[in-house]
Amino acid sequence: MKTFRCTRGLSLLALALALGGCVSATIEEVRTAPALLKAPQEGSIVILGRRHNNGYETESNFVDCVGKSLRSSAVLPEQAFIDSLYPWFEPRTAPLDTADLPALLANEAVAKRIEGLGVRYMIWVDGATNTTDQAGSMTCTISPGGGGCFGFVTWARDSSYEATVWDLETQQTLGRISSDANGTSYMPAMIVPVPIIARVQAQACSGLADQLETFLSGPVTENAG
Amino acid sequence: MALRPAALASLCLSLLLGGCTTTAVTVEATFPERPVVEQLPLEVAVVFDEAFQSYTLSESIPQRGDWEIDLGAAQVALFRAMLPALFSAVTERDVLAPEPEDSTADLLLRPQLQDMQFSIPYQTRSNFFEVWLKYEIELYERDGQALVARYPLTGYGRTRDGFLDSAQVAIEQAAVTALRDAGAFFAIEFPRNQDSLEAARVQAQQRQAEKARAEAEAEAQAEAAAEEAADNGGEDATADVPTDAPADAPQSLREETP
Repeated sequence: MKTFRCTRGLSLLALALALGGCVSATIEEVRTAPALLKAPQEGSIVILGRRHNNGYETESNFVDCVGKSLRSSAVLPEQAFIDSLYPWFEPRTAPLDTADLPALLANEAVAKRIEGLGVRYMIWVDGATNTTDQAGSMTCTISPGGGGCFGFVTWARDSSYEATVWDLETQQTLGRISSDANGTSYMPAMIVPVPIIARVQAQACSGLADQLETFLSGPVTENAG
Repeated sequence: MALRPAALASLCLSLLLGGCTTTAVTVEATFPERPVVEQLPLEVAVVFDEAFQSYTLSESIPQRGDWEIDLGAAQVALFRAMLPALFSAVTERDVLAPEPEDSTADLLLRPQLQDMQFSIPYQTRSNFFEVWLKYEIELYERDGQALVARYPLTGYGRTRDGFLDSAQVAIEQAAVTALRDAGAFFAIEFPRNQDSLEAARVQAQQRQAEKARAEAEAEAQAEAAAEEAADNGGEDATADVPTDAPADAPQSLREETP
């Protein structure tokens, strides 16, 4: 009996993994500068989430995911950068545009701290993942004789993010990359719920990270910066 | 079988008591030690009074029970981390009082939390736990009496409603963000207002000098009046004032009456 239960559980897990909900993703890139002036060095990139908007804020776990997915060079952790430059990168005080950079970097202490950290490229990620639709119902029962769930639940999620790459040296925007993904997850339940999850946010993350990788390893102007 | 009614009763009781629970949140935070700000050539004594150090917000949310948010220690930690970066020297006081003779503080700074509010997703139908803070930073001259200026200071923080995070963790995070926000605003804006602070100090000193002059004048007038009364009274006293003057007669007149 035990063997049967174990086999059944493994089968359900395998089925759930195999049936992972479908996700469709779109990546777009706009390069506003023809080439990077200097190839990114170890730790010269910081990825920051936008958190000043009213209705949403970029999730920290998404920012972490993009940072960890970049292969080209080690990315400075977001919170460490924000803490070391406190109070200039809080949601209310962070620069919103490259036009705000001259005033910020005119502050000698700020410029010195950024230079000390070795950060050259600042990538702002703006967006969020939201549940756009959900339907169905599920009932779970527990009794002394056992328990189980019956029903069917479905929900759709939409991830929409845009990354803007700034060069702190030239104080210019180098380009923008947007990553959109959406998909529907299902959870049928016949005694045991079988989640068939569409990994929407993960897809948006890997798409954005891959495109950033290409962007940052693009052409580099020689004898510069 | 005998257990079933008991189990049912327990379940009913727990459901009934569900709305009476208290969610206690103690905000614990560490803040960046050396904010990147311009240090002012000012020494301050910061007053963390008892109400500030032990501030706890208690609120009841219908169908979501009672909430108690202890912010006292965290807000003290914020000012302890921030002020030494802003001022050349910082000492702490428990009460607002005149500075001791040997103190080198130029000003007394007393942060006051005027209002704290919070909301949970159930109330706002959003995905966020939110916290609002409203401070007033009072600046006094060394005597602890002459109010130089009041700086309003607000802070806002929010945390997304996480599937695996508890409401306590979410509210605590939102409160920490709100404290950081208030601290950031103060650290950036306060140094920019040095001219108005200087003007306010001059005004406060002028007001204090005027007050002292008025008090001195009033005292001199009172003394002159008392002397005049004594001179006049001295002549009349022998004639009019009986030796057994009433107990409620002005003390000075009684004393100076021969």
